[in-house]
Amino acid sequence: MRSHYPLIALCALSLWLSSAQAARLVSVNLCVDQMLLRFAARDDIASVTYFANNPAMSPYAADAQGLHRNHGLVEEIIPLAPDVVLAGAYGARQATALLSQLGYRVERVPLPEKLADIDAHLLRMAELLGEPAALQAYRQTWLEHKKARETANAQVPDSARPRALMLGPNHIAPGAGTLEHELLVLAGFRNWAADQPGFATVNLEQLVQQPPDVLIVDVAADHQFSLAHEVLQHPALNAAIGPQRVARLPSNLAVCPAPNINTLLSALVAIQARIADLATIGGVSR
Amino acid sequence: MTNTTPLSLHCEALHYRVGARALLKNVGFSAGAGQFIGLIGPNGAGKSTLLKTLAGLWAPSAGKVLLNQQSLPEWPPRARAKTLALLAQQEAPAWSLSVRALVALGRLPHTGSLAVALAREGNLIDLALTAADVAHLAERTVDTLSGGELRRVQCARLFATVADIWLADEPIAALDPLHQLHIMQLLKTKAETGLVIAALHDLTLAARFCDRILLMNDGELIADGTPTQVLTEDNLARVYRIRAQVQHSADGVSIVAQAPLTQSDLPTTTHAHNANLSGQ
Amino acid sequence: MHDLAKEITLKYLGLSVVLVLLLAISLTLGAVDVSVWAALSDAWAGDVSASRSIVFDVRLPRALLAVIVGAGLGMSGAAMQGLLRNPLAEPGVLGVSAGAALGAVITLYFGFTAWGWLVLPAAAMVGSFVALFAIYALAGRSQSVLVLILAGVALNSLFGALVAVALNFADNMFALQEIIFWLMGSLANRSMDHVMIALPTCVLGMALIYSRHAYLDALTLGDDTANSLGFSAGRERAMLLAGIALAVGGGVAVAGSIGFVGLIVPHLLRPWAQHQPGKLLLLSALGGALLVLGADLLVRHLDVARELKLGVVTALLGAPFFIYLLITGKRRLI
Repeated sequence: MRSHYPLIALCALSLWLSSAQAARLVSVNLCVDQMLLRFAARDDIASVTYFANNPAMSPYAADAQGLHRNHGLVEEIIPLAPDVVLAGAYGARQATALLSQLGYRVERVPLPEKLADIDAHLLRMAELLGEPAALQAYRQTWLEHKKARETANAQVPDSARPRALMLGPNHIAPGAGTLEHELLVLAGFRNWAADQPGFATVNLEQLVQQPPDVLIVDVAADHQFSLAHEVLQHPALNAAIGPQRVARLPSNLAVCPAPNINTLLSALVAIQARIADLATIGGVSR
Repeated sequence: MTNTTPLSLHCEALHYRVGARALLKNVGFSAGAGQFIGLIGPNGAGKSTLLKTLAGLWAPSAGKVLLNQQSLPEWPPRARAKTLALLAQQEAPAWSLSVRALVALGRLPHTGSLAVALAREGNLIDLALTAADVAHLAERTVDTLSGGELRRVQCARLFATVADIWLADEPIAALDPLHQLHIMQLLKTKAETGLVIAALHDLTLAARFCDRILLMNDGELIADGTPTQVLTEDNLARVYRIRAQVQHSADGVSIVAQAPLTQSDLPTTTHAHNANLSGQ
Repeated sequence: MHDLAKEITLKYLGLSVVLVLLLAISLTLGAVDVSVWAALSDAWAGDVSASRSIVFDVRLPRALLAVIVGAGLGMSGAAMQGLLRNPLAEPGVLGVSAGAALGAVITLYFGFTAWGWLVLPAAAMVGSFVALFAIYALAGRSQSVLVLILAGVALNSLFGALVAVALNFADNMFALQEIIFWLMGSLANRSMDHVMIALPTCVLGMALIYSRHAYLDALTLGDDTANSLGFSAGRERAMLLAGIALAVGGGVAVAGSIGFVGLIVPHLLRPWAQHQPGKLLLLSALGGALLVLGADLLVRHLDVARELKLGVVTALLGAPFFIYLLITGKRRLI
């Protein structure tokens, strides 16, 4: 599993550098940014994306202060003399193709699309970053947390689990097959939107007629006007779902699940516990 | 109608400038009930400008216009419109109204609403239609009319105002001879009790029907008097730059344009023949 | 004369009956099956229920807004055409709606709405007034279709771009989708709060426009003749422009800009009004309400999951119509 190959290659590429010189890592993907900011040595980070310091998109925004930020443009990246350019599986195609052509080392890191992908993703990042201990510990926590939840869930019949709806901006909700769906199930919920595959728009009328036990929304809705969140002010929605049944999840956690997976799961489990209490105390049975 | 003071239209020292160009220069005259005034002059002489200024549409750069001895800007627009009506040179309808509805627009100063005019003043509108000989077109839409028919409909629109003073800018330009005579006769009849000022290009018809002629050239009032006094061969030569034969008969005056004049043919003295420029 | 009056009344009656029918349909049909009678009896009894909430809090405000916004756009279109003496004038096409959208965007995204509910419609009205004034200054004197359309294209792009710029500066993560809302319009998930913003604004605007119906009739024969018929152009125009700005601004503030309504409706109904611009106003208001309500019904049922923007439907209907008018127009282009 553990391989020092990339690290050796990296050293070979920078033979003229002293061995004490840090690796120069450039990220052109927000989720890779978060992994770097969390687990790489700060001196190794040559550049992150210009989203990285946006607190609405990343919980590590403060850590990105002072770092070089790029817009995924080749002409910005070349002067940084990167040892490795890290990209997602799909994004920044033109830039990475050109960089490869010019002889730079480009590593594509597929982002997890299922919970099962997370482990592989963490392993791959560990490999690229030189097996930092913090990342190994993080992965261990995740595996244990996951196992514990699976055991706990096995005790509860499906019908006894509260129904949750994760309502994103523009009333789009994750349905069957999404990572968020799996996460909801792992946290002990049934997904209200499980009938629909992928991400789909939730109809307000359906929501009012069959409200979920809990509506999970992101907190970005609070401080900035956007039509994307305006539906949350709708009187019909507020009548159907009382304020104690609305839970808030920091929006920057869900943008990239892998670097935040333990926090996300804990937050969802906490919401689940609160709603389960509400059901037993308030006697709202659905 | 609404005013007890006798009908009168008076202007003095009227100037109208657009930028550096003077369209009216020191124009002044007075007119009252019982006059049919022909306003003549070559293209660009300032006839339309004068009519629009008299109608209160354009404020003069200097000078004043008095309607029934009251300054024109002091008139409330609607009261003014009941007393003084204008037939503009260009009145191309933007929409395909029926002929009846277009004529009914002339009643707007009185009714304030086209629907009310159509519903309650049918008789008056019929009279105006008949007067302009367009009653048979009443239910047609205006976009189906010929140019001459449309002009007659517009005349009917003017008639429907029943204002005391009519200002008409080339009312007969597009008409056939029969209807030219017809409309001129109507204007003359109107002038028996009211005041009509019409810009005209047909000098013979002007001479025959009008009892007073205002001759304009280059923004100035050149001559003001009876047709015989104003329509002289010298005046025509200087203002229109034509050699014309003016024949006087029992019917009135008839003018036949014979040849254009070159610059050298023009009379040298400028005001020698303008003994009639005297106001009233 | 009496036959004519009867005919007009019949037309108003016919349009109103269809409107009421469509209203009933939009309350009955939706994403979920709900009995309107159950909703009514729940409301009567004062019971809180999902059906009551769906019918009265979700469907009713949406349908009411379609009627209000549509009526405002229809009448504004008729008024703009009368004022500019040009059948191609329309608030959406000429950038007046985009101007209103800019006003709304600035107040909403920069926190000015905290000053009171009036700020949003007022800003939208100011935006549409600026655009209207620009159109009038650029193309009001000219009878040329080309000048009008070029001025409209320029203003529409300008205000559209300014909406995008404003949304970018607002640091909104969903700027792209929200630009689409403001420039394409939608009635999805609107509530009575929105009705309360649009209703007074649009009604006041329409009342102002309608009070000038005689001037629009007189303008058939041009500025000079209209003035000679006892109208003071400055006052009449100011009131008309203010009325249009209110009617368009009130609608755009809550529903975004919905194009072509003011173009299609007056054109279709003009023969019914015997081509009289004044008579066309109320008919166009009714027709606009019908068109937007109908288009919204279509939007709701074409695809429940991924709702099409309302303005897309009206543009699909309206743009070919616009081209048809341009081709068949009897007026000179230049």
